[in-house]
Amino acid sequence: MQLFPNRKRVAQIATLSMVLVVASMAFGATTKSNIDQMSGWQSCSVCAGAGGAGPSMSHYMKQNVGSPSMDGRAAQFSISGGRYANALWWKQLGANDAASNFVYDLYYYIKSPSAAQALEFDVNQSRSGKKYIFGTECDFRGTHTWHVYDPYNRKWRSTSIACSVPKAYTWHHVVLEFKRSPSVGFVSVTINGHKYYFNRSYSPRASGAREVNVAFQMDSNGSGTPYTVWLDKVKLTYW
Amino acid sequence: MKKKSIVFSLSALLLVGNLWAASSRPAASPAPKPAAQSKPRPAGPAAQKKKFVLDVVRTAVALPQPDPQDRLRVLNAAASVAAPLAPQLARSFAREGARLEAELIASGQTPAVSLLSSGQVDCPTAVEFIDSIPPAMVQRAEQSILGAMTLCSKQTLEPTRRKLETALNSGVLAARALLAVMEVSGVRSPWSQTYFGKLFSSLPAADSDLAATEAPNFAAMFNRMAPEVGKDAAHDAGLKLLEWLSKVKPGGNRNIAINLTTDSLQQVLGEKDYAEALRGNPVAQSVAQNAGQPGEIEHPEEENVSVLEAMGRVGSDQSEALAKLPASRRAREAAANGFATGTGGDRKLAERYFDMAFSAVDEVWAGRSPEKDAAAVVEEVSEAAAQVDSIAALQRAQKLQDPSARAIGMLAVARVVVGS
Repeated sequence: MQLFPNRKRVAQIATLSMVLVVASMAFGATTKSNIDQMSGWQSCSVCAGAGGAGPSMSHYMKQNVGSPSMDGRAAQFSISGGRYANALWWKQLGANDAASNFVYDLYYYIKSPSAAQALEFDVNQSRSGKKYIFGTECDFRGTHTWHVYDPYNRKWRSTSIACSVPKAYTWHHVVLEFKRSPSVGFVSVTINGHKYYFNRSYSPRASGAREVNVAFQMDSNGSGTPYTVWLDKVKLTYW
Repeated sequence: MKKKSIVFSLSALLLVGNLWAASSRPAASPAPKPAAQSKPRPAGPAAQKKKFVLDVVRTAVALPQPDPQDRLRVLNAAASVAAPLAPQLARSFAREGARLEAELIASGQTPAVSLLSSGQVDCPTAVEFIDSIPPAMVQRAEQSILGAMTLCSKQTLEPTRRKLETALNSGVLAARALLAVMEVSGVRSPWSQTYFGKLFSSLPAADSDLAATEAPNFAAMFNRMAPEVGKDAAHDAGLKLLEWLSKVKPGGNRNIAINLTTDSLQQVLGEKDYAEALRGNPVAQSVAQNAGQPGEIEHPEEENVSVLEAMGRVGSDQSEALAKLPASRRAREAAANGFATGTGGDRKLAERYFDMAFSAVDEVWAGRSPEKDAAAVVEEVSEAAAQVDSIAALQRAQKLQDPSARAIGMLAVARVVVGS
């Protein structure tokens, strides 16, 4: 019996995979890891509502939480006190005009998903007078689908990608791929290893800013039930 | 592809599908001509799309799925695809799925997907589901129980509490479900206080893989409840948990559980009492000395391919490189390249990639194991193909060798058409 029959083949496959990756991932991809542990997160509730004028609600973020966590240092986000209200948190990562490919990779954990109306995961890039909002939203309560944001028309667009109420007391892995081309391109979402293709693109809107940031938003349900979400291993790769 | 031509092609495909179906049954006599005065209005694009999707869903559900786990996957996908177009049909799939989910659990299997977690099941079905779970199987049913509680917390609380009590009294633990019930019941309620103590007196055999997986869940339970149960109860439970952790297999899960338990115990007891408690229990003390080691929850490995990278490779033929990859990776990579190339305008090369991807799907399915999620590969490949050409994708899915894979692929295509 051959104990290691495929060692050479495994090495070949590994090399090949590397070649496939390196061939296109461009030199100089930037990776910002453990964004959940970084200082300088900002937040608002009113600005997160429709037209930037939503209801106010109580919200807070606590970093380096031991439990629950993937790596011992998760970020805890909580909201309370508002019906159909929202709270948005974002972290500026510095401007990068050249980047046109973005991979937003994170884990989230929720104990009481029935209290959530939706969770939103965004990457924003502003450059050359345009704002590219790569906004995605998992709408648990309404359409039970993923939504993507049309920045120019300021509207959420429903996709048919199912987004059922997430499993409680479990870490969920979400990987989002976006492309600026020069429109706002939504490429794919991978949820716990299951990949779905968005294949949508929209026009950007005007903006004078220069920035790249990641954002996370929590929406409350019609009863305004308070709830908490933990994020961990939040990572943005761009090139 | 333009909207008009999509509708046209869908109708054409339906015709092909009907002909294919007709070939397997006796020829019918020509239908009588409709009355001349009531000329039917042609169905609009939305109605045609709906008809197409529901026909595909019904055909997929009607295919044989001998493996109940596959049947469950098909019902779950069918319910989700049908929900926005035909809610009643979706509910009937969900009810059948929930019954099957309960049967799988009763037979000692963990369901591959959970209809209870999908949000498509009504509350009476959720309660019936909880009632049907054998107490010995609550660990296998844990995700489904949490799904039912999320969906209908008021209706399922009592039956779930009774089920978990019976299970715990006979030594079967579902830590996350117990914590969910405690949080809904109130962490300071007599029930929560009693069952917190019972849980840490009934920890399972520590030397199994399951124990290593569950260790962070027990530690999370301790972390949440210790400040609520009083110092004595926290002291006893914390030491029992540390003793148990001393026998759990080393690894990230164990490290994170030790870190959590020691931190929580220290906070509840205070420095002095914590040190004293450890001095009185050498086993716990020795485990606590390992606190602070880097720990990370072990997550199942995911085979994630980058579509962005595939988009960056458009223009150069990757067939040769793809052919050398193992089946599962080849299927996903070829699908990503097919999507990138097809949406980039080179349909011919995209077709070659999709031929490769679907052929690899057959290989993956033929050699599948419980550890490899072959259904996810079928879905991913079918979906990528449908983004480029839904008709061709449906035809490819219908040609998959196994009828269960065929059904899963067809439903993935239907889902893309719903969103198109």
